[in-house]
Amino acid sequence: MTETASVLVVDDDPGLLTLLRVVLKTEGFVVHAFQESRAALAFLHDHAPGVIVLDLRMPEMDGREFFREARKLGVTAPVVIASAYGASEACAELGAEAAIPKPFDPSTITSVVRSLLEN
Amino acid sequence: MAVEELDPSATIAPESQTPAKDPRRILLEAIRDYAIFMVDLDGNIVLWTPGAERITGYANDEVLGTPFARFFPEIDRRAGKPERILETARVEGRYEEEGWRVRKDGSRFWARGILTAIRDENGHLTGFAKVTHDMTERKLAEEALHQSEERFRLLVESVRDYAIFMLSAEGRIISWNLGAQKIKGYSAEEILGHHFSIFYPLEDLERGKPALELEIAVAEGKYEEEGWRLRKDGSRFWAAVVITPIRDPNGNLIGFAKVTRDMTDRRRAREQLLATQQQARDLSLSIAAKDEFLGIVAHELRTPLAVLYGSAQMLRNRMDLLDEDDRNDLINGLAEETERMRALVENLLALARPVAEDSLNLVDTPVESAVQSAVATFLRSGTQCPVRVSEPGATGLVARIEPTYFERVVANLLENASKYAGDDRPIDIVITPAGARVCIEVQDRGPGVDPAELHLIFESFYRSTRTATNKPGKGLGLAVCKRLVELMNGVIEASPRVGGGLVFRILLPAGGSEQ
Repeated sequence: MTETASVLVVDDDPGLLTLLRVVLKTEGFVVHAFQESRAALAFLHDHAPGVIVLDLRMPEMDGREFFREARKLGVTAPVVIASAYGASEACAELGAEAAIPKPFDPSTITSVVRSLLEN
Repeated sequence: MAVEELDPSATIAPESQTPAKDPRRILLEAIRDYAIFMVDLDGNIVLWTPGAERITGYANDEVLGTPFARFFPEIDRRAGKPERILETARVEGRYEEEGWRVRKDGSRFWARGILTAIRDENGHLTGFAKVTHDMTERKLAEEALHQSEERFRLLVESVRDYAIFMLSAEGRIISWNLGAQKIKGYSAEEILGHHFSIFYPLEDLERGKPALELEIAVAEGKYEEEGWRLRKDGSRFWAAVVITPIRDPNGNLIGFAKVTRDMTDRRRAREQLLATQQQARDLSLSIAAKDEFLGIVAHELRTPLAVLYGSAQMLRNRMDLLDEDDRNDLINGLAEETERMRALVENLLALARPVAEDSLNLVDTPVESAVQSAVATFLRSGTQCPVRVSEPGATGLVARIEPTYFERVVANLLENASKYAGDDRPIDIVITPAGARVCIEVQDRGPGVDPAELHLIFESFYRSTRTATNKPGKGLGLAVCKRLVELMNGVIEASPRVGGGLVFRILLPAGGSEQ
């Protein structure tokens, strides 16, 4: 079942993860926040978030690998690459839907997520 | 030869055909290589021979009755030399000398002559016999040799850039040139007769190097090296030296030729060039390292900055939409990220601060209390991590340290341990004596580091594959620890802890020792 108003956030930094969760929740989205990319991938086995906000640099499984694994699982949800370094390049390379460089304005992330969900 | 029995008035013609000729006359006529003639008491020629004609160029009838002084150069004639010679022969019976004489054509020849007084049966002086040998060729050869030697001597003496001198077979200095004086500072009068070991530094003398060099020169035909030598004033110069044995025609060693060049400037220039090249390499490496470092610092600052910026925006613009939990989360995030940036900036400052060795305030400090002070600092950051400090081997150990550096090191190790091991796993700090040093071990129960990577963990921003990026504030704390420990003349190393985790071992000079 598709959760059209839900957002999956994957970021290994606890501070950023909390901020993203609060920002998106305040805008009315259902937020699933994961600090570990493997746990987030497991979540995708039985959940279908409307948008995925993805960090690049993560241990064990980085953002690029997570992206490819998710696509292999048949996950078609649009992905926003949120990274302090090389977000746009990774977005183009992977064929992701949007890129947001860190630090970001909370309103930017909500408007990007909203527009992706509406499409 | 009884010359006085000859008839002085007779002409001795080479073509004389007289069959009953006196054998003594035949002898005189046959001698071609000597000018033999006789003069009377006044020095006028009274007998002339073919040998005399051949050597002087004058025929018999040209010279008979003329003074023999005509064969002397004008300067000798004016000086009254012919008369003096006659007088000497008169008094002493004979006179022998070498000197220049003049031929008929005005050319000179080098004559070795003997003038002998002739007396009759009664002992009265009747005249003089003169036998002269033309030595011109030998004289010229000798002069040429002398000139050649003189030219060579002048050449060697005037060489200024090389010390060229000779040693006796025993190594005593027997010749000296300007270059030697210039390079070594001794005048010829000062140095001649001294042993050449006077030019060698003490350490070479102790090894018997001067004698060894002569031995090698004799054995191998040459000794060549570059090395330090002493000037008269005791200063050193870098010398390029060649010693060559010199032998007489029979192969016996008669001494050594030594040529020395002062290469000090060249050596210095070479060293400066190498040093400059090394500096340039170091500089470009350090610039590259600094660029990389700055890039990583900027990146490390961005993440906490993103949290601070986003949280502040939310609290300012969306306060009314946030529930209490969200507000607390954001405020805690602000506090945590601020602390993280503070720690990063502090470590950056510790790394960046230039420290002059002599400005370092190393004091004897009780280690246990310094550790406790660091633990207190660590606990103020809000961690619940249990830290146990023990001093099992001895109590009251003192180390010569800079207390603020030491506390920074211990605090960094504690932060590192709690970051990777988690807040609930205890950290042990064990202080033990280690000879002239004090050992401080910080033992954590974290994930540890791959042994192959252990040597890398003290690099700035090194990212272990086991811990990688999931922990904030990565990579700078251990680099700071290493720098500060080394500034305090200590060492820091890491090894795996038995049972999991890491042991950081710091060795610092014990207090009370001589500085």
